[in-house]
Amino acid sequence: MLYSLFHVDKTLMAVPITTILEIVRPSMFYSISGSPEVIDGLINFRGKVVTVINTGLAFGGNKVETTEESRVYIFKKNSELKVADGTGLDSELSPDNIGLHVDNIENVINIEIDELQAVPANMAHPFYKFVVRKGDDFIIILRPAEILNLNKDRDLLS
Amino acid sequence: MNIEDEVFKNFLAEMAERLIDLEQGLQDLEKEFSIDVINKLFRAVHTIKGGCGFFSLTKITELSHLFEDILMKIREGDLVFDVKMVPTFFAACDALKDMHESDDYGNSYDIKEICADLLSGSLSSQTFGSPEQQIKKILPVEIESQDKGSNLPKAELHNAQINHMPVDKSIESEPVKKDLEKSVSVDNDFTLEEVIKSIQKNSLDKNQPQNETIRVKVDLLNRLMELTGEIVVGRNQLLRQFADSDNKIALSSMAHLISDLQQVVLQTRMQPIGGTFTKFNRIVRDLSKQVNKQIKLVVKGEETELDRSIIESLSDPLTHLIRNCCDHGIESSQLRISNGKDPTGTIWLEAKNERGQVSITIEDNGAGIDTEKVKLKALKTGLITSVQAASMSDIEAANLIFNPGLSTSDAITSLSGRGVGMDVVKSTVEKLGGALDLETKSGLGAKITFYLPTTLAIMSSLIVRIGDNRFAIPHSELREVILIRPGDELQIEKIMDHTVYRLRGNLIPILKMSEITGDPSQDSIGGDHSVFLVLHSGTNQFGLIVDSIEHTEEIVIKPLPRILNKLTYYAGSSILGDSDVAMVLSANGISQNQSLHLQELDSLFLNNKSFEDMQLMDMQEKQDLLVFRCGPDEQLAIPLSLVFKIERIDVDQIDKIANKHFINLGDKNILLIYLDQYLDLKPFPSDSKYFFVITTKIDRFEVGIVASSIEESFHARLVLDTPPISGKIILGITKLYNRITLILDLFSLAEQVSPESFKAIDFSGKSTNKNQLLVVDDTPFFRHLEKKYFESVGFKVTLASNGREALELLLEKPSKYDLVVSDIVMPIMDGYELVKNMKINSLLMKIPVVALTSFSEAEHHEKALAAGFDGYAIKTNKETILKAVNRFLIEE
Repeated sequence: MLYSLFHVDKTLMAVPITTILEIVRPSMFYSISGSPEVIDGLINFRGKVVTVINTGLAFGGNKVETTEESRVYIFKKNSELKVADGTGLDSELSPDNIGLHVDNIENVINIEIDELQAVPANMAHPFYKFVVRKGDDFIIILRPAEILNLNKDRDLLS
Repeated sequence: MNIEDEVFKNFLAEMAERLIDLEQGLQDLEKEFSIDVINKLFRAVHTIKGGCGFFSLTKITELSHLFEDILMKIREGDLVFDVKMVPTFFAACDALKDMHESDDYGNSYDIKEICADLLSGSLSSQTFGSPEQQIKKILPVEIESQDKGSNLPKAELHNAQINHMPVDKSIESEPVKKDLEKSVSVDNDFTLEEVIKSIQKNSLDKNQPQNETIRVKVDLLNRLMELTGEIVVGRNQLLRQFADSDNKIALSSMAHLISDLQQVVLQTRMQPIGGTFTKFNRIVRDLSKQVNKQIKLVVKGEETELDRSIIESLSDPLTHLIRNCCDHGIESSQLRISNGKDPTGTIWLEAKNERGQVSITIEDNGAGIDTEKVKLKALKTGLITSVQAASMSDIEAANLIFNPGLSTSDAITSLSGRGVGMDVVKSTVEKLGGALDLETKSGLGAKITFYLPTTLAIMSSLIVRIGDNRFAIPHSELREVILIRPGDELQIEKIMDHTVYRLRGNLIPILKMSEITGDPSQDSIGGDHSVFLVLHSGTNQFGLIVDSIEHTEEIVIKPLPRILNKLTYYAGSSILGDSDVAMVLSANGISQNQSLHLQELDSLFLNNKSFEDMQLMDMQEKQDLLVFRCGPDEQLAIPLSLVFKIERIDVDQIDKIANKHFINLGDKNILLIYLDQYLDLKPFPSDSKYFFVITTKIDRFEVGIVASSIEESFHARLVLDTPPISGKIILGITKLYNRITLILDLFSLAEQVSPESFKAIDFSGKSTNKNQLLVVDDTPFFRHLEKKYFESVGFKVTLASNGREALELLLEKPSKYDLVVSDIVMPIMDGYELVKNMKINSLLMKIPVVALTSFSEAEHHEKALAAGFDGYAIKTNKETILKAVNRFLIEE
């Protein structure tokens, strides 16, 4: 299965490409007065209003700044996600379109199911699903559904 | 979802539609018998029967089969239709509906009685054949099963067999399907294909009108809307980009197509309201029986289209109002006869398109609202004080019914009287961005009108800037915008820790954005003057301080992302015309969030000053003025209510004809007036490249007043002094922004400019004694203007600022006044109320009353005459005013 790799706070992470709607350059974020800091703001994505989350802050790391390199992953809505992925990843995505603001994107690689390993106990995190070792790279595979259903983990946002 | 479930779900939806057809058909049948209607009914019942047979909904099948048979006999001419059958048909239709909605689709229903009714109804009008034969002919199934002493019809047994088949797993395997088809076809004359076909497409029958529809997911429509919205934004950007290009034929033709596209997409969400109206025929019929009154319902404008979601939310409020009409409004037949009315009461239900809105009117010719009773009740519940009750006009009192917990019905009946409802009706309409209007005439009836936007998808909103961000506020939640300057009399003040403002006798809390969001970085910058929006949610009002007002825009409100749904002070987000995102504020959310203690504030305020005094002071003395200049020095002002339009004009647009200057505005050539020719002013600056032209609403006064600059509009208490400079066209002077300002008398100006059409009529009052006039008007400006007119032609004028004041003056010296000239819309007591009070008083009833208002529409004219006014004139036309007044005094 193909995964799209990206960096957040110097950590390499990945999501299955089947969950992504589009990856865009960050434009102007409309900041929402009164919203938690972890939300960068709203963007107009071809007529849809998309909430963008600062992935760095969401993981308790450094804030992702808007740069030439930084990108926003826009994920599919549940209703748009037609292809269920075969890795046992949650296919239950958020009902809204949500964007993740990341530091930079890397290439797309293929990861076989038998390469996926459980997350070591010392780095367990509700957003982490698996870890993968590819040569020198250590990749964390995210659970998109968990990140996107942030309502469940509101304390992570505060 | 497997195929079986999907087909079944679709069938249920289909059945609901057929039931509506059935009901409509029955209503048509009730009015007039025609074979077409019978055919329509037959088709509807046939489809229901077929589908239910396939899905083993045995009881529905049984009833619809019997129903179908009877209809078929009528169609074939074997049975003579009798209008007495209709109530039974309705009952059958109701039973089918109930079963359709029940959890087990009617399988546990007892339909014996209704079946028997149907049968006996059809037998009683039988013209040939023995009863036994007929029964057999009509319903072999029924007879057979009864013979066996069982209530199970034959069809049910077979259906039970179908049930035992592994249908859902094997529906696609050919042999079983065939088997299934066979058994279905034996009992129900239907094949699987037929059922599915008739479900997917209901226009199989060639006789049915070709009104093809398909079901589309609402999601898809919404996406279509979003994309169209974006295309429109893109188009606007392109048009701007290529504005200077010479050849843009392709672009502009595409721009038109896009506008059309947007229209069509909006229409996809629209539905005629007729479907909702239809059910009220039934409700009224049922209720009239229940309350034992004769009531008929007249429905108009069923084809009027509204957004689907609006129609859905209207059903309950309308039902409530119709019930109210039946229960409270319409009197019993005996009472109606003794009051000289038609024993049958009528309720009119009408929808129509009006000025881009849809209005829905519910009117009855019953007893009207008993306003005294309403007041009494409101007093009892502590809603109003006795002072307020005494000063309330009938309309104000009637409007109290929209407060929660108020019902005038003495006894609580099953229909109404619990005091819940009218408040819900009002809040529902307001939630939809609409407004409602109530009229009532004692003994003649009541009328409630809803004014609704045609679509919820697009809302007209005001875009404002607070701090760094822009926000949208739907106009439906916005009352007004108020600008306060440092020198203004009323300022935002602090009373006991509340930041408040006195708005026309009410204290309203004033909020800052930072108080709402708890985020101090997002606050307004502030300055020497403050602007705030007055927002309302229900009866609560509050102010929100903003930095600037940007513009008005039609926006599509998108729901808040789930992550943010705790921020209830936002109604959602939206994409503005320039492609930026803005949050949409929710007045409802804000007021709940802040738990504004409005009652507390009110009581605080009541202790401060009596409500009535404040209302008087505030409403009477405020005036809107347009302040402008004709040269560098003098500041001039005219009432804003008389201004039609202001346009900026380049000097080279002026046409000069024989010393006069004209300008072409719209399709009219307008004469320009330089005020320095009429007043002792400095000459108009000749070097300016552009200027402003102010056109007025005054009849036949098609001139433009030239201004070198427009200062602003002014809303404040006005104190007029006598002008120090002579000149007829000055009404007075006042001090605005620390500058002396001349207030123009536009009517005298009109007279001077074109004397031929504005010649003051000579009044014969000088030669008669009848020259005592009482002028009633709440606006000081008009009051003085009117006084000036009348005095200029020889009247003696007494002034009053509202109906109550006038009534007191009249009662004091009933014989003093020969004529009363009154405004209609006034605080405390309006013109209608005044005239009503005068016409029931034996001392005052003979004094003629002339209505004077700024409305020129015929409906207001009629309304004024109906209310008891003897004559009518339009404020902005001096000639008609004097004519109207003269007529009464000369005729005497």
